Amino acid sequence: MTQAEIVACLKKLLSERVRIPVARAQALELETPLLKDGLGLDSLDCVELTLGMEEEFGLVFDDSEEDWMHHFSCLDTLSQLVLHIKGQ
Amino acid sequence: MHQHHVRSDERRVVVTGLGVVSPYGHGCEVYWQGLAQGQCMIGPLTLFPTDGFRSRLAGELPAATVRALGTAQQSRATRFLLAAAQEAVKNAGLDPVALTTAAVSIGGAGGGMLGVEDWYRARYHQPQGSHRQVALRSMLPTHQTDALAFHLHIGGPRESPILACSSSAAAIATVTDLIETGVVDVGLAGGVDTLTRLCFMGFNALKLLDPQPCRPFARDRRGMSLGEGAAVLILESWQHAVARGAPWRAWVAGCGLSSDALHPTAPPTDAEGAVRAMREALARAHLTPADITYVNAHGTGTVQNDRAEAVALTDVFGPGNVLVSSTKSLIGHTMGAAGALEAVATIGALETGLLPPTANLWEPDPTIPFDCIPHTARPATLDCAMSNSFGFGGQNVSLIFLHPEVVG
Amino acid sequence: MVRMPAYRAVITGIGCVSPFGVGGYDLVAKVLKANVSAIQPLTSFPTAGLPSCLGTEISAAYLPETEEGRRWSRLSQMTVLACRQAVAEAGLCDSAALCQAGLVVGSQFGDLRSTEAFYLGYLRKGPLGLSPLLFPSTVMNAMAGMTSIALGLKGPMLTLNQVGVAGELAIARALVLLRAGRASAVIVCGVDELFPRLYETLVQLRVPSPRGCGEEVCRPFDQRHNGPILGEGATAVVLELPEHAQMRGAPMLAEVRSACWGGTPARPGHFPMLPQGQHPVLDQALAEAAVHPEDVGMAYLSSCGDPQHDAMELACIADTFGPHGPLLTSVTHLTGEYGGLGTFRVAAAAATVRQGISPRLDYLRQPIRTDVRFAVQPVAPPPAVVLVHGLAPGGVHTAILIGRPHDASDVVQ
Repeated sequence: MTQAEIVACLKKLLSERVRIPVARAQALELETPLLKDGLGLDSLDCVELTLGMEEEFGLVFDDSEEDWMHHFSCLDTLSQLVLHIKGQ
Repeated sequence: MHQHHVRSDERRVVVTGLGVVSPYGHGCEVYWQGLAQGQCMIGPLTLFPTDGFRSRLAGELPAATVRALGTAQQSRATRFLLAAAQEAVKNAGLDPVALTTAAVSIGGAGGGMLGVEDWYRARYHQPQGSHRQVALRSMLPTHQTDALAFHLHIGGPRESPILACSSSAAAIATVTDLIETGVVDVGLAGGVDTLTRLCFMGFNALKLLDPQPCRPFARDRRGMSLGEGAAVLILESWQHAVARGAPWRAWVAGCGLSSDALHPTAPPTDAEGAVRAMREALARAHLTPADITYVNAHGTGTVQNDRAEAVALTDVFGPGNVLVSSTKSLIGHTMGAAGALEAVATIGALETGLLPPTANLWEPDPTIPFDCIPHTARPATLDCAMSNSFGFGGQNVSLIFLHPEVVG
Repeated sequence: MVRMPAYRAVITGIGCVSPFGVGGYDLVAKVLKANVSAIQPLTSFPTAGLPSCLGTEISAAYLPETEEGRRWSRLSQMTVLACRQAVAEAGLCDSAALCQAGLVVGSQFGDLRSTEAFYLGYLRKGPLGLSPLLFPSTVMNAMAGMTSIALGLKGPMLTLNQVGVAGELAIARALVLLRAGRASAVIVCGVDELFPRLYETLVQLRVPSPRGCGEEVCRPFDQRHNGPILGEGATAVVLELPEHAQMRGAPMLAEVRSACWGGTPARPGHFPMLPQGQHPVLDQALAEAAVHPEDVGMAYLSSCGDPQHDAMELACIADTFGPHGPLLTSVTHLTGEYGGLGTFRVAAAAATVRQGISPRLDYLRQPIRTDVRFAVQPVAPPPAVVLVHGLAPGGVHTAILIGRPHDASDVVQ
């Protein structure tokens, strides 16, 4: 999968699982902040997104990292994470 | 001991009876012994399949204990609750007449949902099949309270408070209010929850369960472990207890209730709501933080809760000024029953002079500035102890108990 | 000399999310005055093949999607909106005051819709089908939790689960919170919703009319009664200590003069055998309100067309008040029946003492008892005291007495 394809899937998950309005999700740029200072996602949203990502991309997300939420900073960091895990 | 005084016309509340059903078995004594020995009861969950989930452990009641409780026609939750309540009433020496006007408040989150899950799953897989609906009748938490009132002929105000993890702590606080305001003289306050698939799956989905037995206050803690059980406390006005010549196990000195109003699952990092609940309990008890020697913590073992709880305890007591332990490390998080089970543990600490330990605390978190009593119960002579519950949805309850001999 | 009740609270705001719309005191008054039922064939989910098809439902138009409500379940949204409306009507918008206010939510079924959706996710797709966002809504305190977040309520917060009289119980508990000094103002909300699986299951359990017998109707106290018609709604009231309301110049719509509850032990789901002539909850409510039975001009009853319920509640009223007792009325023929309806009854009672507005039991042709009086005509003058009475399967009994505020200068004639 390319990064663009992954980002498209992430935007769909943001609407379907995290209930972000479709238009708002589609309008997100790669660098738009997703967390507190941007879209406003919190830890609960990120956990929901994680499950969606595990289902959509067939990967297992390791949340043992203390600062795991930094991967959710923007679509760019999140899609890079997916690429990284899929590449393993 | 430091003496506290109560006026003869003051309606203060005492605890005259206790009853417990826990992963250690049926009875208060076996519960206290298990806690005192620091025996961790969190092991493989066998009540339903757990394949595919990251945590597959729980503090489950032994099957032999469950078989000996109640009847198979009753829901699992009803069986636990009745057994705990019957022990409490017997141990308080309460007569049936007193029960006819007694309040009863039983907290719980899951009710009889375990049986309903079976029914729903069967319907899902065989929509045209005929499926017994008997479990549906005991689904709601209020059913358990009604069943208790029916079996013990309890005729006073009846409530089923649902505050997630703080449900039964709230039951104790609200029955205390009923007695202190003169609505009733006697009340049964407690809680019950069984393991359910919904709860197990939900906390797994939230990634809040530790794949190993939970490690509250540990550096490497990774979440909660679930548990199940029931506990009931008999609360009375002290005048009523004196009039019938009943000894009491503890005073309910003060209860605090507050809300975080922040997030459905996470506590605020400054733990402001928890601080308010503790300060309210202290104010109502006419006590200062220096009077409290031991706190039975909410202590779930999640990274967030334990950190926030330490912030709250530091704010109220100052770093290191109270001993702290987590009962959840020994029996798991018993959800709606936790507040009452931990209140019983706290009263046990006052009574026996032995503070229950925190299990699995091999490497304490250095950022938590409290002695969390690792592994081994700690002898300590206590006047006052606090028990805290900080529930999902930001619902905080803090209870303070006094040794029976410190009040004159 | 006016005898003062032992403990009082005043109602300073009302909020209602209902099949009739969203509003406050004025909406409740309008509904009662019009006396037009919202019961009709259900349209939000199919009922084909079921012996019951009627109910009351809240239009999606009254529950718009908002960014703020991204995480709210439908039931949580109903609760937030009702509480917000009540708080606005009470003028309790100061964040410092809201911060200290209490919240009590009463519900019979809670958010079972979310519980079903959560479990279905697992049944369809295994662990990956579970939704962490949905899980908090599976615990019944979610509505209160979401409301406290939306309104900034940081005081004591309780959710009470109760069949039939969840709203009444919430009012009674709120009065104890005020009495115990835990808050000066408490928002109380009774709420329940209908959704397909619940409706279908209750029909299979033969809960609603017609129960295999006759026409599907809602006729409490009539000999043709054959079960309730189910409904949904959320009604919130703001209860305050009188001195707190006076200090901030709040409108005082009515006064809760007493709110008592108890329980006669009964097999869960069944009505108790009430001893004749002894109804301690009613007696206690009258005593605490410093009210004689003959002072009570009207009573809202909780019975909803279940024959046993109707009979037992009327027996209780007849025992206590005799043949010249209050005019008896009900709202369930207008709103449908649900466990959290009691707060709507309290709001209705406020309109009755304030303006003499009340529902009429137009459908009543053959009352099951003739030694009590039913409200079949508009009541005039407005009764000074109204009883909101509740009796539930399992034996819980509630009695709330509503009167005009003791400073009656704002009573509308």
